[in-house]
Amino acid sequence: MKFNLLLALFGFSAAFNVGTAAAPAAGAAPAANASPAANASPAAGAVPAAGDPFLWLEQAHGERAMQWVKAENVKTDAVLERDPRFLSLSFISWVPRVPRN
Amino acid sequence: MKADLLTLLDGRLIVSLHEDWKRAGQPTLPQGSLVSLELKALSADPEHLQPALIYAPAAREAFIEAGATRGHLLVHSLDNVNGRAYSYAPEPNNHWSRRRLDLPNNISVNVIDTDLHSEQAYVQVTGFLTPPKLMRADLGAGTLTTAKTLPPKFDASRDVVEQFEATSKDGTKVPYFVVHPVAMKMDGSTPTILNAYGGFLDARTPTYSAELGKLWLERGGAFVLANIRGGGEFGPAWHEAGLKTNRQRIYDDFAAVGEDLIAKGFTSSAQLGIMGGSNGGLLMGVEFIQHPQLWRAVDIQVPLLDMLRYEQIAAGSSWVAEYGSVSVPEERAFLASISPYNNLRAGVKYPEPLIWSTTKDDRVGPQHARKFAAKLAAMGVPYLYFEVIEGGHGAGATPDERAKMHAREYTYFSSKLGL
Repeated sequence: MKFNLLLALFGFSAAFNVGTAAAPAAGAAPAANASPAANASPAAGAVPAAGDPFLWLEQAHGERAMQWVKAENVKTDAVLERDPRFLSLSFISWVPRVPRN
Repeated sequence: MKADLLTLLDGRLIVSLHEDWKRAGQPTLPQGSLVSLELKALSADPEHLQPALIYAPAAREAFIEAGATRGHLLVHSLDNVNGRAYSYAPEPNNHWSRRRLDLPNNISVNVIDTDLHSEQAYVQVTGFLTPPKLMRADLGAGTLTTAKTLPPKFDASRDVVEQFEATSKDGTKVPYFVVHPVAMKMDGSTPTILNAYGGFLDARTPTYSAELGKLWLERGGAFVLANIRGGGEFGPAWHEAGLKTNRQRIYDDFAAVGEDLIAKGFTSSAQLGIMGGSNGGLLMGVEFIQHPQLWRAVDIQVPLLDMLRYEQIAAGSSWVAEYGSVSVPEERAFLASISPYNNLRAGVKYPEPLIWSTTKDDRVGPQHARKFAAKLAAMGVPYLYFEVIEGGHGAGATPDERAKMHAREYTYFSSKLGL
């Protein structure tokens, strides 16, 4: 309907989704920036997959990838959740459903 | 010609122009304009259109949206990124008159709805320190009255919003908003977070954010929104200036704003952090590799980072019009020069970034963020990586997850920037 539907395409900033604001990327028009099909598929061999040691992390739900993810999350929260500020920054009253454990 | 048909008003078709409308023997109607076509004339002689100009953007203006009431057109535009609303009325001889609705600076406008059977419309007005307010417009009278205001989510009484301009590498003036404590010292000591998006014609305007307010501003931090090229802040041309192999302009604009903040005394590199998501996450990655000494903290949210493989990952192939393709040699060369994943260098002193994504993001995907982190690990560069396992292209599926992710981000910024 409105021009800003177009503007919403792919637009998202985690800093800016509050209350009545539109959910991230919700309502985005998926086709508006779609490229001509002719441009969309790069020639085979043009893709620098060879020699990429971390290609296995591209398996979004792969078992090995998810093990890596979980280990990273533990490492990161050992730093951030252990920070004395974390508690006061996460138990903010405007999110009433955050448990106060 | 690229154009949008927006609405009908009293027998007139309202059209917004995405590019110049060149007409033989008559003045060109510029890109970003709003025009009307009388249906009677249109059907009588469709070969010879007689558009009437409603709105043509001035140098630092952009048309955003429009809606019709019974006899008026509500037009939302940006004037140097400040939201404006106008009531337009058709006049005899293919002319339009306009009246500006009274709104302050440093706010955003959003047209909620317009009533075809009366002169009423509703607009939402919001700002960095102004909770969203629903206002009723009477387009006949040209007035705005507040219908409903959301309660404030944080104490904004000690803060102020100002707008400034930086000069980018090629001389382009880049505006930015600064939200900061009224009482701050201009000695470079204020912990500051700089944010931008810079892509897809997306105009970033002032927004009310509970977590930014509560977790950062209320505690004395400053926040900056930079209106860099790639967005729609100054219409389609601002977007097109940064497409494909011209994208370095977007990255130069962002760095110029960072340097300007330091030059003006708002902050210093030791207390300047940056954050951006999605296309803005790519921006963060590029700034991380191009200016590792300019920022102390880099929050890379749901990013694109491997620009040589982005077309193979999640919805990447649908963004070729924006970034170009590795199948085009000159575009591939450019992507190779800026791709953050492919430009990490041993021996460079990088700030410790926070990189995060979500497993179920089917738009950008978690792949870019993961690979970037894994490469940093292999190089021995300190970093923090987090992946929200539920939820899509955002900070999580539930309020709890989102609250925890925001807490991680602001804990990270507080610890790095000293707040």
